[in-house]
Amino acid sequence: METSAEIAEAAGSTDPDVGLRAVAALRMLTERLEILQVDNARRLGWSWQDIAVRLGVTKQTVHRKHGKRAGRLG
Amino acid sequence: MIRRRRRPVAPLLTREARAIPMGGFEQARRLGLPYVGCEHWLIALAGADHPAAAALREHGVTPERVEEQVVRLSGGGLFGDLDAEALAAVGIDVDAVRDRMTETFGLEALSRAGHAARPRAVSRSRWDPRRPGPGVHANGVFLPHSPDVMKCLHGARVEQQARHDAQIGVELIALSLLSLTTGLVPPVLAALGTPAATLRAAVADACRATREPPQR
Repeated sequence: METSAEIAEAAGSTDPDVGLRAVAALRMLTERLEILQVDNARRLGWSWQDIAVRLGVTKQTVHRKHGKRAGRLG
Repeated sequence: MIRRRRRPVAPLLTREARAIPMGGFEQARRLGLPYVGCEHWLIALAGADHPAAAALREHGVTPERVEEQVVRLSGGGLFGDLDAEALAAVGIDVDAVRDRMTETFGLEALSRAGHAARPRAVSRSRWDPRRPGPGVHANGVFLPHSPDVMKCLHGARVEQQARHDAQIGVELIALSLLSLTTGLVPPVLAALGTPAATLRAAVADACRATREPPQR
């Protein structure tokens, strides 16, 4: 793992190639972790409302996005 | 109406080389992954009947050992195609995230989430022009190629043009695979403990020994 100085340097880098690729990869990573965590929460019996509060969105949003898939798990 | 006869175009890959993308597709399906990456091509290549493949196996790059690393590194397909280099630039270690998630949720849950992340990528029953980018479509299943596959093909194409070869053979695909700097192939080779440069030299030697002398 890099030191925090190196990280700060890379994050503040003005090279758009590095910055934009990092943003795209972060978005993909977030999406996947969200799927993993929502599925887990539903399996543990959490309500859509509880999940939505933690994600900072409305329960309709989270249900629209994950309901079809994770609804079967709960 | 004038009908022009099309000149037959030689396929980009030789018959032997075409077996590698198809082999990679089969490996990705068998491992239950929603995309084809160069790591799957490497499994297919290591098992191929070709001097280049024999050279790889001599250096310990066997299909079984590669597969073992691919399963470990791709985290059920959830983390295998992420741009690890770019994420490291903003301070995220994908390896650490993957290990932690595998430990917590298990490979099976990761694999399920991996499929859910790309719902349209698998079990596409017919060809669809809106499909997301290049990939392989066979037996009613479409799997997209990860970006490193396109890089590998591009590298092989550049080398083919430099050598003035008519088609891309297994050797060029192997050399291009071993030259990749992104995707899962470099970490797989690192985990197997064989430097890519050594493998490239071995493949080139094996193919030079069997290649026909240039004709005048």
